[in-house]
Amino acid sequence: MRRAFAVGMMALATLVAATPAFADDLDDYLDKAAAADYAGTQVVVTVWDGEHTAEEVYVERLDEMLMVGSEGREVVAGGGKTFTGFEGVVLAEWAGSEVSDRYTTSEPQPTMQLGRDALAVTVFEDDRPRVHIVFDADTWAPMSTEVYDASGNRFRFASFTDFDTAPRRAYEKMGSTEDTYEVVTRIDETSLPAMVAGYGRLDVYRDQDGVIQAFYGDGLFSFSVFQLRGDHWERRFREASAFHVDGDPYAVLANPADVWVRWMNHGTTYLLVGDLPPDHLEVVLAQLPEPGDGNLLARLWRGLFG
Amino acid sequence: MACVNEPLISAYLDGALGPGELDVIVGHLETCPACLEMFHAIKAVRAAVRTLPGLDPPDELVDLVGVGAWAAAPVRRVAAHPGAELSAYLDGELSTPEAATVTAHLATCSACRSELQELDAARTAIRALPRLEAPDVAFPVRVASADGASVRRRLRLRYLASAAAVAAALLALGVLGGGDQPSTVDIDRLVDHHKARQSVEAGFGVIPALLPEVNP
Repeated sequence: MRRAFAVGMMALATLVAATPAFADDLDDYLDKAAAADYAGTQVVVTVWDGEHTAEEVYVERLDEMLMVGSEGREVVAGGGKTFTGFEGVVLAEWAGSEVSDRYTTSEPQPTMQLGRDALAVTVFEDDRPRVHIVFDADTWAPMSTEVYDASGNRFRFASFTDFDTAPRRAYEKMGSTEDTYEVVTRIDETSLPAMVAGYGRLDVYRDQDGVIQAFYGDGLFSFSVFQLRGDHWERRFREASAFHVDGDPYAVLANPADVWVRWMNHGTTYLLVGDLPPDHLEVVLAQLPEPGDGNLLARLWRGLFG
Repeated sequence: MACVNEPLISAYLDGALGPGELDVIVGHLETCPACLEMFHAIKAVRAAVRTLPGLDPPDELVDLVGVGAWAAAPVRRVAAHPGAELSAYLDGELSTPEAATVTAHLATCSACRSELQELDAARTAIRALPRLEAPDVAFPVRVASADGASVRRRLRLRYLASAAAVAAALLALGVLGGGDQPSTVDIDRLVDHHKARQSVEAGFGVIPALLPEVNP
């Protein structure tokens, strides 16, 4: 009897060890990473539709502010603010968020990265690897991150090529003044859906030009959908590739660390900016207002009455 | 695996690796101190090259060397003021060193900056010209005359004249072509708005952070 009990306990212990951790653990890991102070050079590569885009940046994380710089261009973000050295944006308020329960994590596995002790964690979505993160064991800084598409192929990769736990405090030298910030206010009303492909609409903002921004996130990836009245475009979209969802065409620009998507619907320009994987993007776009100019009668109505 | 060679590391830094090569290079760099050292060395050389001042030889030297030598060179020579090169600059048709030279010149020359802005504005205006769409209306025509061809021709002309008049009226109202003319949006500012909101998310900085002014 005692032997059977011992075997049972061993089986239970094995089962517990093999069971993936839950989203709460990932929340904990990400919180620790956000609180870490570090600096270094990072290479970011994205493979989108067979094309590579890459960027080498200096990254500094200090006091939960993140500075990213590349060839004299720098941006600081943190605490609802963004600052580029001569102007900035600050949000008045925002909602809290948690990691979606569609994600589970593996137990941290000891490894080495750049000669330092590290912990590797794989994030699963529906039992398929979605993200693999190697954290510095000492500081919980994210030493490298790999993001996979639905086929399990790595589509985005970021890794430090040199790493330091003592930031140079470079962002403190950028010199900001409060009057250079544009304050963006939160609003309640929007025509955009509250939930899109598992991403919750966390906040809606309106800026000084009347542009509506709906921010969606699932605790791991996030994106904003901007609504601009009228036909707006950006010259960089001349380099965009066509992306079709249910036969509808979208203009997509894949950058090393994010993707921009532009389309028009009934006289409104939509811009999506975010870091979501290609398969997530496809489902998200299918659930947002689809591309289309409307019929002649609708355009006549807009022409006459706005 | 065998150690990676210099051209592959350069291709890696250029983001020009072929499918499958990326995984191999990254995996190897993570485990091979020798190649990582070579990676850093190449990176340092490239950074140093980027900081070299642009070369702008005097016209006398160009004449002395001979026009043929410049004409044979694969890289277009960017003059003191880019002038015609600005169009190629806007179109992204310049090579990386040419574009860098123009960018450096624009940083110090307000006249060329103004010229670039005017050129960009002119292109935007041209692109903004409304598209002409024929109204999608049924127009049944009955032709019973023995001289059917001439009647059809007259009807077609009358139809086209009517359609043109309707189209002109609708264009005046801004109905055809999607209504308002396209205007340029400052997407960098919108990206900053997204970054500001994203910065309070736990995943910010773990998933690769957004970069400043990508695809300039």
